[in-house]
Amino acid sequence: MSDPTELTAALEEFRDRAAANRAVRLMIKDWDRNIHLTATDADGTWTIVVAAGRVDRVVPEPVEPRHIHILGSLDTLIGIFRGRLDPAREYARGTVKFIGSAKDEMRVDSIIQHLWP
Amino acid sequence: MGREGSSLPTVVVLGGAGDMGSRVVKELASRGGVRVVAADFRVVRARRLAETQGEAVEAAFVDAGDPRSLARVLDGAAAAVNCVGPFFRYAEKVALACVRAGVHLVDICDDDDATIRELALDGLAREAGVMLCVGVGWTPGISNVLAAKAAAELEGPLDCDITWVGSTADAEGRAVILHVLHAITRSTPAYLDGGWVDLPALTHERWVAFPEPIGPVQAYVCGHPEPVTMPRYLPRLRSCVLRGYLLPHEIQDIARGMIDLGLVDTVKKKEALAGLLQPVLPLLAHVGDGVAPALSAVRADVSGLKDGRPRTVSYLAVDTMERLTGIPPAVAAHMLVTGAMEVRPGVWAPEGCLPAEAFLDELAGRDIEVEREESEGTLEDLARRAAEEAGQGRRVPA
Repeated sequence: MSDPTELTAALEEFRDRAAANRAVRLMIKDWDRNIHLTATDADGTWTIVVAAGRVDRVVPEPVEPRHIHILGSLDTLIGIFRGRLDPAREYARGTVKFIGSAKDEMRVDSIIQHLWP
Repeated sequence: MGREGSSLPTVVVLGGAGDMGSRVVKELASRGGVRVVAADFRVVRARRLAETQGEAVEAAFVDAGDPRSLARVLDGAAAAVNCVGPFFRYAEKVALACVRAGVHLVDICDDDDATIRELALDGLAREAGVMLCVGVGWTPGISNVLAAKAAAELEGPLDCDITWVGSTADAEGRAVILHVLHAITRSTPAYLDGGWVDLPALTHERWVAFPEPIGPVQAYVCGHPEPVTMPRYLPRLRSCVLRGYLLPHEIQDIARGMIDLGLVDTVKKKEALAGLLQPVLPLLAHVGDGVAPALSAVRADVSGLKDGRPRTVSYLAVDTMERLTGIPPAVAAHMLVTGAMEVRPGVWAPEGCLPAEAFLDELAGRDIEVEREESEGTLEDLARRAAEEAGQGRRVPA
């Protein structure tokens, strides 16, 4: 199993990539969301805070209010946010659970896939 | 014209709890200087939205199919913004209710047949002193203004192509699905050689270049209001054709398959199919190799002469569908009630009534980026270059 700090590092890389990607910057305009990630095997929750048209910060704790909740093993979450795993495929396999609106689900999916084409 | 207890002009957003209407409500509330009523059939949802928007926003029930319900909610308002779709069903009902109530209207009607019926209300609107600004969204709306801007830069007879790209990863509502099914299953007006003709939807394909991550697309004719309205305001226009395209690319094959199977040849079937498709939009966004970008786009290409030589001027915008569609009507309604736009009774399309530069400045202020391109040659030359880029697998730089 991966170390929880690896997920923090993966999310920080995700934030930096998002800042440098024009398509992603367009996709998150006016899309202010707190995205909770819960590692089911590490007893921890991280939050990606999207605000003011950018991935504002990632923090290793829940930030309220929660708009989107993604649950999976530490390895799966790291794989998704490092672009090694396809979130839709993992969802279909049941290794990751997404709680939120269908539109938000599509947007998260689209953002991840356009960061690691 | 404020309501009781408020000196601010009231803007009623019909469909205010919906996908696009809620964006209009938020935009109007953030602009200030108006009282906003989020009116919706789903009044609980409208109340929840109003609670997050401060004291200037309140919720109300409305049934857009019932003239008495519309009259009640419009009473005392300065203007209304209609976001209740599908517009082929509701646009002229709402427009007529506004005329009867003496309330100015901005709508985002994107159906050509409904727009023609709205234009027929011109005499009644003039008589009532009411201004109806129809089709002030993404396409029509931004598209018309950009095309008119490009046309103003050229001489001679003008040819205009307008193309939109919509993504299943960027859409949610049932009304937008019904609109697309309506737009791709009928003959649709185009303006060719100085006259209107009907072209079958999904034909007259043309390659059109968009920035990454959309890239070049082979768009096709579909039902939209731009070819209906643009020639009325631009007398030098020789042709105006609107094309559309859905992402992911594979959706085109699915749509054609549904048509071939006879799944969308009646209104009832379209209704049933829209109900089935809405919950599976997330899956449809994945039918290709990757997931479709959660972005939509519009491009207006106009060719004419510059210094005696054929030139094409293009304007394009890429953003999310919600922002592209929801910000323009809020800007227009705000301009209307605050005096930034002249009130001219009658029915108007965006290219006829909006102060273009002020309108585009407002969009820029909301971070909607408009890019300009200029190239040698005609629309055919432009399409040829886009086809070459697509054929070579070369993507268009962002």
